[in-house]
Amino acid sequence: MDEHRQSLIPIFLTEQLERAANRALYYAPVTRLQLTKLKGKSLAIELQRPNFPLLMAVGKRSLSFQNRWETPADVTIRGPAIALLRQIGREDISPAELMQSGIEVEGDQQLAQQFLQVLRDLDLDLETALGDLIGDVAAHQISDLARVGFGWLKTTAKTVLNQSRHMIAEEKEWVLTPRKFQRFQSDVEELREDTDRLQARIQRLQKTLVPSNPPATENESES
Amino acid sequence: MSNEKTTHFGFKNVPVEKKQKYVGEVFHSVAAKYDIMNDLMSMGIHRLWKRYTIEMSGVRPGHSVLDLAGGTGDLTMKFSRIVGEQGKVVLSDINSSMLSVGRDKLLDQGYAGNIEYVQANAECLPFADNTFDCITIAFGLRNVTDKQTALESMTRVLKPGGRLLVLEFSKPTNPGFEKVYDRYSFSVLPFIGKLVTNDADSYRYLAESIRMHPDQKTLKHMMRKAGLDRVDYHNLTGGVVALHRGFKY
Repeated sequence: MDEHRQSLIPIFLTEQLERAANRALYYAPVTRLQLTKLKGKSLAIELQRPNFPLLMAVGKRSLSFQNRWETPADVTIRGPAIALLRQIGREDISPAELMQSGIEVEGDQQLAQQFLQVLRDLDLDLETALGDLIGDVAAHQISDLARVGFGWLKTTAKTVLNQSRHMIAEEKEWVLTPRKFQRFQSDVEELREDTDRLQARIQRLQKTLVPSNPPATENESES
Repeated sequence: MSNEKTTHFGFKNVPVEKKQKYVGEVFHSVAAKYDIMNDLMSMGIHRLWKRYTIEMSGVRPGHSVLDLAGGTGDLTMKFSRIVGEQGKVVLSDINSSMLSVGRDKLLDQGYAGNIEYVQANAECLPFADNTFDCITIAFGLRNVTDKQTALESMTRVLKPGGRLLVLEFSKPTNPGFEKVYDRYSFSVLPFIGKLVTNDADSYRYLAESIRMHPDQKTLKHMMRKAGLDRVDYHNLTGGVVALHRGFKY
């Protein structure tokens, strides 16, 4: 077959991703510095469900993304899209946890960790980015307002969550506390083991009560 | 009656030796607004077609690449980043105005060091045999007077194992879509050309030259005849554009 029809949608998405990443990098000087150590290295991400292969190569001044590639990447991460997204924000990920969530890492494992670390450490200077759009003074005021607003929201959310948890578990006793649940779980476990032991003992007793040569039946004695 | 050999220039037949001059005039006229016109005419899709070409090129750090009819340097820019300091990209165009616009654009954006500029005719490339790992010609082949000779010249300067990529307008695969495309090409393109560059004729030539260009299968056959192997093609945007790829072994 010499004719192939090629959809431009993945190419469009990759182009937009590349633009967004490089734009973000412009406002993240620390990340840019971290990436210089990875210059020339490549990371392949093979997303599954939806299937979307992506190769990220670290260049001199920017990142480049590709949908198809011929040379193997230095490190390849493949797995379901949702599982991969879940791992991004996490601090420590054990290999066992990765395997459990269906994620495979192939190639230089240390490099994979370095790439993930860069992603975790990403600190965008949103105030500068906003400043480029609407001017420095307005951007500073909006950023200050946003910082105070987000801070208040974060604290309030945390307090509400803690108080609700306390009220549901301790005051109203609608749900068990983790400690009570653990105690209950270990009681159930103990009961299960006791029952197993008792069942084994009964079976052993039954065996001793049944005679080894059972008596002849009535029909046999008549004949 | 004249025994002069002729070739097509759009829908017109012109003497072979005149075509290069006429094409040159078209591109001298549009060079300054070439990029903006490309964006307007293709609604920005030409960037995706070019991006796909780069992905299919298999170019790696250290490779040497020839971007033929490279015009304003869109492909060269990307290749320059990929091949790195150890590699080399040659941006070549027969038209001095296009090459000049491309060189200025690349330098202004900080691309230098691994790029060379060569004004050359694709039919007789001034490079030694087996020089390049990859040659691309994007939207340029249809303007070449003798396409077969140009393809043979490109094959000659390719290294064994290297590949030639021809990105060019082609024949839409859906007849319904072809009618819409025809209407767009012959009515809208010259109109946009008139508005932006005050030159409707050049864009009428563009539409005509696209219709006169060999279709997917014919071009594939020509590439095979030029000595390339494993030739295949990829239709983009319903066949409006096709990317042909062939390898030299």
